Amino acid sequence: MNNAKKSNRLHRGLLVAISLFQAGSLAILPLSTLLFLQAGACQELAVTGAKIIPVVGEPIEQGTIVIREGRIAAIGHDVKIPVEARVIDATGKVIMPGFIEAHTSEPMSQANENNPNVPFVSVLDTIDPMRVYFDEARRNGITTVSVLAGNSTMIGGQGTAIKTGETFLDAMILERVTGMKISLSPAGGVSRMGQLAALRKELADAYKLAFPEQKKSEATTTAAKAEAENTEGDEQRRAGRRGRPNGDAPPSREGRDDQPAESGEKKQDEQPTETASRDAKSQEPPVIDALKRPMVDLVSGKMLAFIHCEIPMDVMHALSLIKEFNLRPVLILGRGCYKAAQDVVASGYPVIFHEDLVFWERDPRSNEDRQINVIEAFQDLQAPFALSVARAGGDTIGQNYLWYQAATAVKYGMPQAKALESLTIGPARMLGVDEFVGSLEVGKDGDLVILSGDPLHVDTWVDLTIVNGKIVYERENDPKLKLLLEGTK
Amino acid sequence: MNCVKRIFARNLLAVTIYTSVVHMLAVYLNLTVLDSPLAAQTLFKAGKVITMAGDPLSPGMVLVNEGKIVSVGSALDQGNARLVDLGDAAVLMPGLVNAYSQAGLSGAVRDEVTKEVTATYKVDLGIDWNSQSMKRALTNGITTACLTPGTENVFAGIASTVKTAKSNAAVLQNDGALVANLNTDPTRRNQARQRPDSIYLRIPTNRMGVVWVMRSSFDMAQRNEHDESLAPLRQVIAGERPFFIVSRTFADIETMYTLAEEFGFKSILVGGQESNLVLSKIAELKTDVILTPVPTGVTSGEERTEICLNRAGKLAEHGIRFCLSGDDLLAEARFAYRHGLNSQQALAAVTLAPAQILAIQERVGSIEPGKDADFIVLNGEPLELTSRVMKVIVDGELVFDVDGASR
Repeated sequence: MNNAKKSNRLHRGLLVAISLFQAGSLAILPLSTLLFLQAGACQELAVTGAKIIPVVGEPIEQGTIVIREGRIAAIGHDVKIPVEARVIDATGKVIMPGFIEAHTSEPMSQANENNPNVPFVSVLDTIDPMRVYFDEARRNGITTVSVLAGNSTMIGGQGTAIKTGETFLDAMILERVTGMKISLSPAGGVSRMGQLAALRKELADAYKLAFPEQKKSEATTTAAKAEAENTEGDEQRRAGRRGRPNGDAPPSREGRDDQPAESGEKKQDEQPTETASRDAKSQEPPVIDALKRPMVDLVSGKMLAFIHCEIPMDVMHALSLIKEFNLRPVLILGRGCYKAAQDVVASGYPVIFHEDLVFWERDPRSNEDRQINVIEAFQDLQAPFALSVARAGGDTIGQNYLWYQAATAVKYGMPQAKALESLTIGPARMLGVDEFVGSLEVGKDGDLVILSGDPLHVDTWVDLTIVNGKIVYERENDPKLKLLLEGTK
Repeated sequence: MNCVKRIFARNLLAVTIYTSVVHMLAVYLNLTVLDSPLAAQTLFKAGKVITMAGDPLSPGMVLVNEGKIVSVGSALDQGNARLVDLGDAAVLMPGLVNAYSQAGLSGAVRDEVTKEVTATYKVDLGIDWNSQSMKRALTNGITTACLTPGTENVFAGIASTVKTAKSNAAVLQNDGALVANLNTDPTRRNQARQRPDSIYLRIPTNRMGVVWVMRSSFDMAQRNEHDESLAPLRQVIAGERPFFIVSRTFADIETMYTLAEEFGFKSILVGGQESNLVLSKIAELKTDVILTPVPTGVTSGEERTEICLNRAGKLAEHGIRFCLSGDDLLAEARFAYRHGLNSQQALAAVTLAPAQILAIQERVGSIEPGKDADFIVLNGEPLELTSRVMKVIVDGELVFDVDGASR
């Protein structure tokens, strides 16, 4: 994973170098052409005069932010602007980190594979950078997208995190593989029992492959024990004891449970000799089929498990699977899952909410209508979380937009700061890419949005979207927005 | 024997009436007199009152007597009135009016599938007052709604304008507009070629067919004056009954004007997705427009109409009287404002304008003496995305309170 990041960095460095070279060789062109080129791929960019909301840290009034070679070089009140930098005067405007959409299948040409068990496929192979989605994303300040398979496939394949700035997929990749999409809601006539049994078998098989010395650990039978452990109460879960039952303890993977990211990196360094790097006592390294590799990576904690829970009971199953197979989960909740809020909050796992933050429910017996406020139900949530947009059937056009969903969250009781985190650093942490994106800090990627006013206001627009220090959207120069607003005549 | 029975029945009736009157009195006493003896009036006080009749008042007060507004001002004498102080942060504004709503008519009961012309069908007896959609409307701040039959009949029936908070007693217009559909919805279920054995043989199956049904119905109504089933059509031609025509595309709106000229009726345009393409004609003929929302997650509107997010602003520029409709009416106003309508017009488009289009502006739509005391209370500016409807007051009574109802 980390290697991928590194090579990605290298790749980007190369790109920057190439464009530098290009800019140099074109120096004889007329000034206007040069300016145009600069607007497209400038090496240094300074945005001045705006209120900066870095999300991590306090807002800076009248701040300046300098981006060099695609990354934030300086940020603050008294920042020296390099002479060669292109300066954007953003007086009276507000700068925020680029927004991150944590869960979408929109960039894909088809969201779900027909085969229910396809851990070996990758959404990268179906992302179409020309889709209208990317246009809309840039228009609404989204700079990073976590693309995942839909909710209808049991093991739906590997997701990815990409930037919205380029049109060539390789240049868009932020994190090649983020995790595996798993769905607990059965599709195509399968029962929940069947779905769960099949899923457990796949995970157990992968577990045996990953940790062959534990062959007799009978991963499948540990389910009952894990379930028994479930009843021990929330305290232990909070304490981070997510190990397997004693007798069947898997090889120790210290640290990972408590600090998944850190130890995940440690493992990364060992990746080339992965099989040998397991515990010292491991015997003959088994040859792992390339098709089975992703599932092995999943149970060895090398990728996240994005688990879609449609109804509250799915949450319980998810929690026991996580414990049983030591998964690093992100819970994708259906709207009814507010009933499992206590368990979700206590688990400390990251959460992606359903698009309906407030909805109505009728009690089947008393016929009592109740308005359910998901925000209120999850008010104690400390783990990173993200919001979703509606792709169809929403109450208003607003549900198309991530920023509107954040405003709705505030409307129904979420503190504003928390809502802004759900657009930025929350999903970045959840996806393990907070090293690069999610806040405005020196060293991070130059991904930012310049808003016409304070965020979450009704007449605040995204004026400028910048990805890797490159302007990828300008409201002033958006003929399509004009058409959308004014119609064709 | 029969006679005895009848007397008994009559007495029973009298007793029932007597008990219910006593009961009502008791409830009345409980509600008002016990709070502050002698007070028959209530004085609402809020940090800001948006009246929709003149500039907002801050602070503002509204005096209410028996469900009607008595006076409005910045500083009113409390007198004997009971004071309801909503707080300095509260914004009080008129209850919202949804001019095209299907609340209470959910599910299959909206559309009659056996006939294409059901002009005399009335929604008022089909309203489920206890439905979730009614409660949703109320919590979204919609206090008055014009309930219309669905879109799958060419002539769908007669609309009814009601208050969402009450039951049958709260009907403002029982016998309202005739609702017709000049769009492709009436063809929707008739195209099922795979079901030739259907007991219903229904036309139309295409857009031309819809126009034909409408034209021939008007023709029949004129020639056969004894056909009671077409009476509402004659009333529409005579200008005695308002006429809603649901049309979305440019072509259908044009057709509406063709038919209007042929038969001499005046209609209110509902939907109007492509009204931005027919602006001058709409303005010239002074047609009222009830806009329906742009759906979520689409690249084109219903019936593949083009999206023009600033439709409302365009109508306003041309001096056309229009209003917004939708389940989340306040959100519609917010987006109309975001997309180009000015704030005053955006608020009017969900309060006074729909009341005027429905011709119930004497009762609702603004906070003025003599009108019904229908208010909503927000915790911020009504057009801000983060403001929430905290309380709803209908006929001077609190009918929804976030603190009491949310869980």
